[in-house]
Amino acid sequence: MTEIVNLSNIYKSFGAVQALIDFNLSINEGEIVGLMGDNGAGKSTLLKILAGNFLPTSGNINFNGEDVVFNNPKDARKAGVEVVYQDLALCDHLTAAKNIYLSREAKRFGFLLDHKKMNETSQKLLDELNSSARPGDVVTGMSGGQRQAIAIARTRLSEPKIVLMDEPTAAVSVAQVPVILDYIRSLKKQNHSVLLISHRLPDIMEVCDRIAVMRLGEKVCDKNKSDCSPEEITGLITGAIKSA
Amino acid sequence: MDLMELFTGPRKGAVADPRVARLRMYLNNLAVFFLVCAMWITLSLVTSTFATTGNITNVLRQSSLWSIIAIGQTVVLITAGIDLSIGSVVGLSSCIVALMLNKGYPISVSCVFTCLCGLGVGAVHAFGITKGKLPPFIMTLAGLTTWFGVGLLITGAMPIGNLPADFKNFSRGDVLGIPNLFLCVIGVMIPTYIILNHTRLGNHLYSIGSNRPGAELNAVPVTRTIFFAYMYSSLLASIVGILVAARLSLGIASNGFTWELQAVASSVIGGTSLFGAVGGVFGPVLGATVLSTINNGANLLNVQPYWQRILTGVIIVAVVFFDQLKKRGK
Repeated sequence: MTEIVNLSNIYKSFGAVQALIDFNLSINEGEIVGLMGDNGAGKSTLLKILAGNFLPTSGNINFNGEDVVFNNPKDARKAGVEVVYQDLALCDHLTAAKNIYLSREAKRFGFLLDHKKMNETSQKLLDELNSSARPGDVVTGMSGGQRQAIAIARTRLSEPKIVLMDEPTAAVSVAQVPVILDYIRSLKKQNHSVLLISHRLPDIMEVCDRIAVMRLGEKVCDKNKSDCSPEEITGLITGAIKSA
Repeated sequence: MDLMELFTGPRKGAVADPRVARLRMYLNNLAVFFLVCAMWITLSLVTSTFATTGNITNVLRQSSLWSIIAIGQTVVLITAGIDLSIGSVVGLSSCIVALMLNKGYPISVSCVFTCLCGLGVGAVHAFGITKGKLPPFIMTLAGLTTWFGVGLLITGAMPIGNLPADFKNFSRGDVLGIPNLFLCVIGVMIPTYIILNHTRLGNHLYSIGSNRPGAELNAVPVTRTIFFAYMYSSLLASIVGILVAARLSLGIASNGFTWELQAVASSVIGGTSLFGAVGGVFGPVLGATVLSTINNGANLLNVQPYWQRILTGVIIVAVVFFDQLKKRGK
């Protein structure tokens, strides 16, 4: 199996705070890795390093066989990293379509926006996610599920190598959770890798191939799903079990 | 369509209807348009001097100058910034162009150089805001005093007159009865409209005003976009500086004094939000027409001109107060 991401000896500190300590993780092509941990364990920091928002203090990122430095989100996106952020990073005043296409707007004549194409493609992507959001609507006032769908639809604009998702099921209605989990499985079918950050153990157990647990900036577990039990994972998250 | 949305904005938790949102913007502009009409009709009835060709042209000339800077201000306000240096940049630009014309440079060279200076001024503001991480308010407030000082310095605080006739005639001229100054407004409105509504740059301007950290996460080139906003605003202020120098046949640093507030007031009367991401090109032009009508009407009615400044202050507070109510979710 081809290795898509290999993080080795990643450290990240913010002033005196050590957010990541000697972190190692490898993700293969078409693999869904669940990343769990309590608040402040360093999950979002790790995601932001992979997404190009932060540079690691030290350590190496190997992406698709090459050592890379992601200086900004654009670098990461270019390499094939798509992200669904926890706060979704939506612009409330823009329409759903303009949010989906933000910073890669479709153009015609080289400089004018292609509103028609953006709306049509957005409609298609939102339909695939069973979302009732309409491409021409501004995001202000949309429900949590509709917002989530827009943030997820963004990842469909390119053929990403890996999709990073930060709590994609936290703010949606119960009925929408299976839709999002189905979407994650469909990514795997198309051979995209997924790094799924979640607090919801049932979601992780349902879709992930492998589970990694972080505690206080360190990885305390990295096992195939079949090798771990929910009790063990919970214990690792809370610190009742030190490592596995 | 929920008609209450027109007045209150979408209810909390309800999906905003884009048709209503668009209609609200049109209605705001329409209301301001009717306000202008009402003021014009009233002034025509109560004064004998308002509805004369000379006076109307005068109102339009004044509103043209304010419209142009208000459009520049709007572009900056859309990014949730503010440009308080506009008045001083108008003054400085009128000095630069007058000095160059006095030295015998051709009109074209003088105007182009003045515009380049304007772009430079905007770049300085944007540099401070993006690289120096200074609040736009502070950076451009410093610009307000700095550029006024530079204008005084290069002219020795003296008015620079004696400008070539061709230059002066431009501001009084017309094409097929349409004043040249108004043509300048159209010449600014069209590209600005296209930029805001039909280019990636426009989408990025709104996205930064709406959610700057989110725009950054989505790889929007935030720094470049903010440079554009402030450079565009200063460029338009420079153009107005040139037009003012032509209109008054005078370059002096106090040209455009406090016009940054006229620009803010015109823009917010025209529906621009001081909190970013809301605004267009028609609103500021209408807003500028309201202000220049008030100005002109006050003169004709023999009201002391100082009232106009007081009124501008009251209008800014009132409009922003209501804008804030809307933002707070009613």
